[in-house]
Amino acid sequence: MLKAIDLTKRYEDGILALDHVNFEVKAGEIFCMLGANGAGKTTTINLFLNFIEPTDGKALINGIDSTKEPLKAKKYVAYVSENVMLYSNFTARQNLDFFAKLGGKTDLTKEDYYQVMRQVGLQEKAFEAKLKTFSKGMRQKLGISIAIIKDAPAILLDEPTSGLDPKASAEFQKILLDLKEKGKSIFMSTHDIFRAKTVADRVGIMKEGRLVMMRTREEFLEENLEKLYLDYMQEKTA
Amino acid sequence: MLFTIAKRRFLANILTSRFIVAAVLIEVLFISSTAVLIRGYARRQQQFHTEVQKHDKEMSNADVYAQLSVRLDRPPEPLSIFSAGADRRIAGSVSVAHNAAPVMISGAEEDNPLLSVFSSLDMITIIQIILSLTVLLFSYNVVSEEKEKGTLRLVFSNNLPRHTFLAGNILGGLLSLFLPLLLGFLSAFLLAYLHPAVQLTGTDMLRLVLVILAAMLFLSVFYSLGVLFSILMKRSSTSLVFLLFIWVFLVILLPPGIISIVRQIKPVESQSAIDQQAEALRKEWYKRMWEYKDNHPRPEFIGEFIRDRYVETGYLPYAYHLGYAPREVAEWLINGSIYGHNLKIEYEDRIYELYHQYNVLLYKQAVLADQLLRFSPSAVFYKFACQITGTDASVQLRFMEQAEQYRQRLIQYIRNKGGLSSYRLITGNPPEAFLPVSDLIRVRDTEGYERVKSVIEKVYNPKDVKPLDLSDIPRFKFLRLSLTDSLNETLPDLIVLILLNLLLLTGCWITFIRSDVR
Repeated sequence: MLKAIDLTKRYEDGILALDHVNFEVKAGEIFCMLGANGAGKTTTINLFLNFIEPTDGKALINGIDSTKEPLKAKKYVAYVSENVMLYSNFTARQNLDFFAKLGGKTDLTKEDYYQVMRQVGLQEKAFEAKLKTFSKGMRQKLGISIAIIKDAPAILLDEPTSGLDPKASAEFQKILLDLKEKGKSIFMSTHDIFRAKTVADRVGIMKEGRLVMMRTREEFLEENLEKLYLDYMQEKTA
Repeated sequence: MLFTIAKRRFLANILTSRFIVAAVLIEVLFISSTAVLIRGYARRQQQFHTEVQKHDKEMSNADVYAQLSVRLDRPPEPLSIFSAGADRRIAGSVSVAHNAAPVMISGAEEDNPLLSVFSSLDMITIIQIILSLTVLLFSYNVVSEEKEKGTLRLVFSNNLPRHTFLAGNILGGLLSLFLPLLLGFLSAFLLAYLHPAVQLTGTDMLRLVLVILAAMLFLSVFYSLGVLFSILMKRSSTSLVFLLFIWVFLVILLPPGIISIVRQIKPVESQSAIDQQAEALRKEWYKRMWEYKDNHPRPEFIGEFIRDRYVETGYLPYAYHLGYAPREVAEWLINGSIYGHNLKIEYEDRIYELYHQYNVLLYKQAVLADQLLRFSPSAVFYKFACQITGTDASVQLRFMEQAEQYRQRLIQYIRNKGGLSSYRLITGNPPEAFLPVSDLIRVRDTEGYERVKSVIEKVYNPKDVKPLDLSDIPRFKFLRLSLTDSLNETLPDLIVLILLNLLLLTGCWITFIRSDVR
């Protein structure tokens, strides 16, 4: 569903942000990309969303090249950012309504919105509350609601648990697993090794724009993911 | 999707407290300024009717053509309650006579009244200054704020074309800002419509609709400008600073600056120079009258036989009115006056032409200014609004031109009545009514002066002299420019506003499709 083929990005200032990265996220699979800041995780997401164009290679969503047909490709992907920023003067339901319509869902009822918000664990009183009163955890949940309501087969998550308290992180984890059960292809960039270990079917480690390691769930559980990660990071400083 | 984006922008704007404050402020300003202008208009309208009656009465008292002077009145422009323009500064009435051409009688001596880019506080000025600034305050961060907050990433993670996002935001933003404009206008219009002194015709309403359309185009120029800067600048605060600078330049500094430059590059001599030339012509006429007098010496002049004679000087055969004089003197005065008044018409024509040419020069200076002022959308809108509502300073030129045309019709009328070629020019009595001086002397010497007095009284008794029959005198009615003519005059300004919009919208589109939405 999500596929990176020799995905490469060199910025105008010469910095190689991504260097021939290859991976595939299948339907019903969670792929977690680990890596330090600046490793190229967000650049990968930006390439899938056509916010930037690759220097080389392809980012495919549902088999569609997101560079050549960005609008068509984006029909099949939802996105949750590190800090879900929505329109603060609008209520949660109004925000959800707006993004649902952008995502092509034009015939949803108020109850449909409420149901999705319940699904992600937002409290009823928050449904018609303005976003400016929301905590980060609540905003992240609403961000997930937006992704859910779009009902796209692929989801891109850019460090979605950053700054969340443990309870909210745990709730978030449950939502991810539900989405996986529904057959969604989930790509999640994260620093959170613990969360990756819990939800990922596969894990990749990025370093200086290269995908330096990829392990299946069985492999990383056997090999100790924390140690693997630290080893790769230390290589960098060595 | 366009509707979704537009609706969000619309709601995002109208749900803010700054919008409510701005809307209330605009509403209050529209209503209060219109109320003040309606009061002024009603007073001027009342004054106009009073003046017309007074001038009609004055005219009907004329008993000789030499004294026939017509005061021409221009009614106040009803649309001046929305667009004050120069209406109050323009002369409301002017006197014309066969021997007195209309000249410009208002405006500072050193100033060109046609060079005006602001008026008193009216609907147009509020749109020109306050609404344009409000529009900028709602557009400076349309894109940059979404980028700063990160919503732009989320928006464009969907299959949303950039032009749809841009068009939706511009459409929604403009609709929200047109709301206070239309509400304010509607309130002001109702206020005027319900006032008994204000009579608006269908054409007036059509003119107002055009003004509102132009206001929308004008405001959308500033909105597009704000959006352009919100795309170009990474920070909303930087965008705002730049836009405020541009606003001050375009709205406050540029229009008077251009006028100052035009005065330098296309100077027009002061009106006092024209006044001097006009005075020289009047002196020349006076000299020619003295020459005439030299060739036509005054007959024997006995003061006791003369009654109620209005002259410049008793030495000249130029009179405005003759009550009684011995026949020799009466004929000398009648013939001299016929010559003098006809000569005066020629000189007054030349004097009018002097002032007219001067006005044309002022107009040409104003035309150059208008062309340069097209760099300022604010000035373009002001000019458009004033011209469409008939409150621009060129109304003064038209008033003077129409007054002169009327004077020519008046001269023709007097000529047709024989008023410039007969005794009727200065007296209501036929020439034979005036006794020769020898007869008067004889009566005085034989029957005494009291008898002479009774002879004079018999010929001239003011109660018996009927005023002129002016039932068929041409009537003056100031003609406003037709809507078609007004539109023809203002079409370039409208095109400028449309082109500016297209230019800025294209700029927004080009910069936005290339911009980084992360």
